Amino acid sequence: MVNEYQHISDKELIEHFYAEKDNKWLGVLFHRYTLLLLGVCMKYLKDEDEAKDAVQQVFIKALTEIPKYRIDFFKSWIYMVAKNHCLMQLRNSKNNPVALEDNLEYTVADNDLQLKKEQEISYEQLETGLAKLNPAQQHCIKLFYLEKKSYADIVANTNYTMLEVKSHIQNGKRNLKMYLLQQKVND
Amino acid sequence: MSDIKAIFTSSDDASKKWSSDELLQYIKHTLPPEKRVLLEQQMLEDPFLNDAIEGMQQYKTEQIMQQAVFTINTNIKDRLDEKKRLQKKRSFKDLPWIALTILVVIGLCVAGFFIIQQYLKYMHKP
Repeated sequence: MVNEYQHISDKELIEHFYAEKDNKWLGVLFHRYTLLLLGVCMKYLKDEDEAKDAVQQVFIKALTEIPKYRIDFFKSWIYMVAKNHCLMQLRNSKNNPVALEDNLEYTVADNDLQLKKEQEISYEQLETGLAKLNPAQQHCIKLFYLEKKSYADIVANTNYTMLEVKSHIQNGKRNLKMYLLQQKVND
Repeated sequence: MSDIKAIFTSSDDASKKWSSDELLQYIKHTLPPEKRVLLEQQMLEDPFLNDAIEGMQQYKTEQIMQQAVFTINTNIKDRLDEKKRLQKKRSFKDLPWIALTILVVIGLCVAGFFIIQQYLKYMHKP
């Protein structure tokens, strides 16, 4: 039943729901995100049964919340609802104290950066920025973006663990971004 | 080797939507290498995708995960169907009241018509 709606975007599905008030559209939308949300809840709760229950509660919450507000970006909204639900559940559980300060808001990575337009970045700036990174970050970024190696390939070709590879790429990219933004400010 | 600008420029496939099968293939290390890299690049930009895959990797077996997805989808479908059924029932329940209201309004109109007719006849009597 759900495959026949594959060509319809999330935005169109939710528009159909607002126009027709038919829960069928929410059913299609929820079905799209079940696996992803289960993964998110599992990541935070680290328990298969709790993750399953959490996803169902998130959907039930979504059923009551969506008709009340206008949701334009369902994907980021449902992620935020699920993440907040898990973090609140962890906070309420006495055995799992967790720091929440930075976690209760969803921000899309790179939102604030204007570096995506190719013409805004020069090769010289990129090469200089890359050279300023520490050797591990430089190495991982080159393998990942320039040689198109996967995390597993990088682990196999270096002495780094999977976690180190991810961290070197993430931190390296962030440092490079900061360097380029600084250059833009200086210009 | 790719252009150095690939670090910050998205390819045409950067907004690709991943099917459940492809995500499961990634977990099982059977996704083709080029798709694997593309997915990992998207994971860096999309915290939702990143969290989801990290969580999926924590499942002991794929069967447990698939079973959980099936259970959730079935329960939600049942809930949505039940809601729809109740809405329909409620609308049928309201039907006699709607019919009664229409009848009363029609009755008042007919009565009003006759009263006005009688009044007009009375007024025109010599």
